[in-house]
Amino acid sequence: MSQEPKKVDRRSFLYIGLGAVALIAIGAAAYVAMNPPVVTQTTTVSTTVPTTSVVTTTAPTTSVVTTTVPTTTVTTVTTGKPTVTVWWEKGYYAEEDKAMWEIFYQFQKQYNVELDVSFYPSEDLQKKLIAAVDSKLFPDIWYTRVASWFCDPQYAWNGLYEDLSDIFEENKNRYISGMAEWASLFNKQTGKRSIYRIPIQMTTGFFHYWKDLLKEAGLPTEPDDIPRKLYDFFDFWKTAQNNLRAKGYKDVYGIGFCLGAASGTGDTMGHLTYLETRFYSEFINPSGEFVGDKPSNRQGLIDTLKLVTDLYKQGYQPTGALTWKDPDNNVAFHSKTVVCTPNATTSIPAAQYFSNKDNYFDKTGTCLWPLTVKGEEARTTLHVIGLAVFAGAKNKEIAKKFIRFFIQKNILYNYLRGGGGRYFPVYKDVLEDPFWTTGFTDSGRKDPHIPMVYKQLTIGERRPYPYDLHPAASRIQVENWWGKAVHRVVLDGKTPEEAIDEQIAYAKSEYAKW
Amino acid sequence: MVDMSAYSRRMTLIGFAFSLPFIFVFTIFILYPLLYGFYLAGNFSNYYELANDPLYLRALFNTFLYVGVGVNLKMIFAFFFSGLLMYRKYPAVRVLSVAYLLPWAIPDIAGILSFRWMLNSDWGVINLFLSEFGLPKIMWLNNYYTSMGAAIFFHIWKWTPLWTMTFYAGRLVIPPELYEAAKIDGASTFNELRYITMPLLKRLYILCTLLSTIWTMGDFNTIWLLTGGDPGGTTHLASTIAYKYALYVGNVSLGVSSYIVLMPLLLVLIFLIIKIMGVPGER
Repeated sequence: MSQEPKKVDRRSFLYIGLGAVALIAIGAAAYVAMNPPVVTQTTTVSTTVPTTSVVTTTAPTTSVVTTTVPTTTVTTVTTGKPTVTVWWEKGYYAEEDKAMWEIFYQFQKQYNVELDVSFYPSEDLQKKLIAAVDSKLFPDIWYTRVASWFCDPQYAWNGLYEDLSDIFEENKNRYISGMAEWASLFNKQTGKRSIYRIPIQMTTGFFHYWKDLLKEAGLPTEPDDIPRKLYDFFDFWKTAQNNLRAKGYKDVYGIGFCLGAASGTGDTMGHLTYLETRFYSEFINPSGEFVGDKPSNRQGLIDTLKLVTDLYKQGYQPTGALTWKDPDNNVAFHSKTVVCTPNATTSIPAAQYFSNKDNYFDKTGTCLWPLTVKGEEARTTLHVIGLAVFAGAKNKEIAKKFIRFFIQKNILYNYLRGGGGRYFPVYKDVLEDPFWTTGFTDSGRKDPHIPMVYKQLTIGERRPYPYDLHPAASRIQVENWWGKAVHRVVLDGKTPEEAIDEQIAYAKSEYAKW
Repeated sequence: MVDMSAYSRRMTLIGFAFSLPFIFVFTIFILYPLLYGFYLAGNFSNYYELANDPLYLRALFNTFLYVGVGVNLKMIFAFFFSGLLMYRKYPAVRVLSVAYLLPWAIPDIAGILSFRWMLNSDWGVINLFLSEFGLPKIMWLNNYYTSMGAAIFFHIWKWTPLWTMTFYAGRLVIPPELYEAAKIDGASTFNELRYITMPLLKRLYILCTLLSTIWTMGDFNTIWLLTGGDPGGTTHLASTIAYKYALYVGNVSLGVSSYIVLMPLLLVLIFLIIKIMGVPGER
């Protein structure tokens, strides 16, 4: 008996059809994921980005900016122009991002390229960079404030960075001193040091204080009247606390050093690193070498640790300072829990500037760090932030053009002014602008912060932040050795000598790995 | 006449076609990351480095402490609180049960940060309360024991309601006749618990404990936001120290290696769960 060809019944047909549709949908989704659809520039960009030309005036702006800047915007193009991937860290203030958008638009226009720009918060950008290095899909232009210690030493060491000596050489007369030391990193593949990053901006530690609390404590309020001899300086803040406590301010502390030991608490590392130069000591030298075990350095580190832990044990630091993370000293200052606090940027007064001008101009001040233990001006530790280019980036030549474009006097000035003076330029011609020495003005009131910042940055010799210079030093920074040493003394009852020796042994073990 | 083998082949093909989306998703989102994780963890020098890092060894110890104490206390509390919910006919129990479930509903970050502020040694509400009674301020987060204790306490506070609800659902399916019969036989409340409730909830209890153990091993938020690993990096868990290695130190391979060490234990737990769940229809 011959068998009839089997018919596909309706139910089977439906099943097969659905299966086929599902497969097609998955295939289409995969194709789209790998080949993003071509679209024209989004309206979000054109409506939120200012179209005016770059402002070159030096007149300070006093208005509070409320402009909304998109957190992440992607621009894909239909033209044959090269598309350059840009990952940029979001600024602290809307004005900073606004200035950056203008700069991107100018560059696009001038060089006939299309920028695919994404702004990210710092932590997200760190993750993106790790993934980029892991997958070898590098961004062309990128910037993050943590690159100096987080990426640069390690990536340069592993040969991931493009040599930028030519750009540095073209601009070498424009830099303030010490920039070559900072920009130069060791590449293990070539076996030599070279310039792998172009410096852009700098900051250091500043002491901010409440003038009205000092007045209440019956002490002078102007920075020039605050003692600068090392121990007199700290006695001044102790006296402020004692006087305030006597007047009933029971929860106010004299000083707010950040003493948290959590990984990545940069403020603890920064505050104590600024202080160590007051004792002529250094843990790592400007060549990135570990020198903390040299007897004079070791003694200076011990003295630094003793000074800070004594302040804590004597009750002149908030008890919670041992668990502070980076924003916590800012919070303590704004809530008037501390009379003064050091900070690595001018974020504290800048926040007051944007929220309460009376606090900025009248009630808070910025003073210089104390002198060395011998009464001399100490070296200023500079945090420098710059730009690097991945050697494996698809459009690295355009990225280099962008750096040349970005560091032009007027362009850079607009960007840094957008940051409200939070960071200062490392280019002498940009630093010559009167803004950096006079700051903001408001109804005849003079800026009590920015001129002091300028003074702190320029008053003494400078050295680069030591943890930016070697991959082992970067690791030591992450591990927050200063915080751990403080905890060993305050919480575990070790002597400063024992705590420093432990950390010296730790640092040596890290350096032995590289 | 129906050709069964052709029919069977066709049905297999159809089944396979329908499985393709799942296979695709499984391969891309589960299998590939897993294999890539093993690839990243393949550098044996990482394990030498980890074995010589006292903070890592401490993190492993903390993980077992956190999971061992946190999960077991949480489960015991949940088991007994679920018994309390059986008395919902009383208005006070109904009110309390709503309040009791709130911690579960509060987002992790808001809850942890509030708890951190409560523990602040300078102006936290707990120390303010102590000082009202003339007691000394305690530096809760400056000490290893109180920091770990606070983290475990928060974990129990946050997650007990979830498991309470699970046990409550388990209790509801126990036939009430069993309790009635026990009462007629003169069984005490304790004996009802011992001979009816506990045996019938045993599998559910073990299953929930195993599931919670796996989830708690990966808990990141509590420690990261509450202590950040302080004091002195001593309160890290395997998950937080892995994050530190991968995204702070920038060594992804070391980060993956540091957590993959726990994989054999996790696999045993997963195997046990599957075994306890058994085959559908079988007991």
